[in-house]
Amino acid sequence: MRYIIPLLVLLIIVFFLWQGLVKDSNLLPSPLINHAIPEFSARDLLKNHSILKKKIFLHHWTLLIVWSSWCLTCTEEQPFLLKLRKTPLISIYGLNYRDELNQAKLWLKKQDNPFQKIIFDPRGLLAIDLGVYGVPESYLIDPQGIIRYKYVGTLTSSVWLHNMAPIIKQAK
Amino acid sequence: MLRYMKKFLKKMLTSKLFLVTILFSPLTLAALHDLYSFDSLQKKNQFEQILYEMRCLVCQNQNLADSNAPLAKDLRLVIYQRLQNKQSKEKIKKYLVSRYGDFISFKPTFSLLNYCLWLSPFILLIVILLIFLFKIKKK
Repeated sequence: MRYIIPLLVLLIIVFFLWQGLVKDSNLLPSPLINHAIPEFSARDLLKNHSILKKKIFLHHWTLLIVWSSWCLTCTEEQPFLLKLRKTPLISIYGLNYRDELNQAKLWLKKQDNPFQKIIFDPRGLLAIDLGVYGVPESYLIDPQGIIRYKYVGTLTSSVWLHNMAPIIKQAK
Repeated sequence: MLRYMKKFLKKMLTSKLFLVTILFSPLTLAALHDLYSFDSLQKKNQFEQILYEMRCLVCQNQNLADSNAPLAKDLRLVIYQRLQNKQSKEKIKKYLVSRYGDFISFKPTFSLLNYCLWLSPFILLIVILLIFLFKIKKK
């Protein structure tokens, strides 16, 4: 009986230490979850004269992928994104971060283009407004333009199935 | 020879560019490779303060003043532009925290959760001491 209290205290301490080891402190939780996408005005990467604004995110679920042609791990997401493009559930938009127009276009030609629309953000200003701090990152946005989930890193089908798809299903 | 030197010196000292540089150099700040100029000393100090109090999220043990990362450079520019638009230091810091979370600030805000986190080791210490004293008293 006398051993129970020290054991409990030890277990509590061990729990916190284990959490410290397991959690990656480089991954920041986003404070923008359940907040609306901020207003913006940016060029469409592929359609030169088209200006994109916040309203492109309304009335449908969107997966916003932050990518660059100079980001090596972004290519790992491509096969998954190209598969996902076939789902009617969601629109896939790209946010081209701190990139050069021709390099980005070339990358899309080589890697194939899974995006229905691509926002060109060469100075990274919209990205800052979204709390982007690296590439690749992905945002799940609902039909009201609210950010529901953010994933930092290469998007895989596992993350999609376990973290993002349930949010969409729950909302229906 | 001396005459040419005198002429050159006179030209330099009366040139506007030279005068502007000398007179306004306290109001320019070099952050790594970028040069920022301000119209008041107060603004320049505020800029420096913000840079020292905000973390670089790419090189997470550096502040925005020291970091070479592209994101740090972008954030410096955003902060500079907001100061030029007469936003207060508090408003700018609030904006950055609203986008990146408490982690970006080296001085986190004191919410209830932060208080609990900070005080938990002390609370644990007190609890353990109390148990210890209780045990001694029993003997």
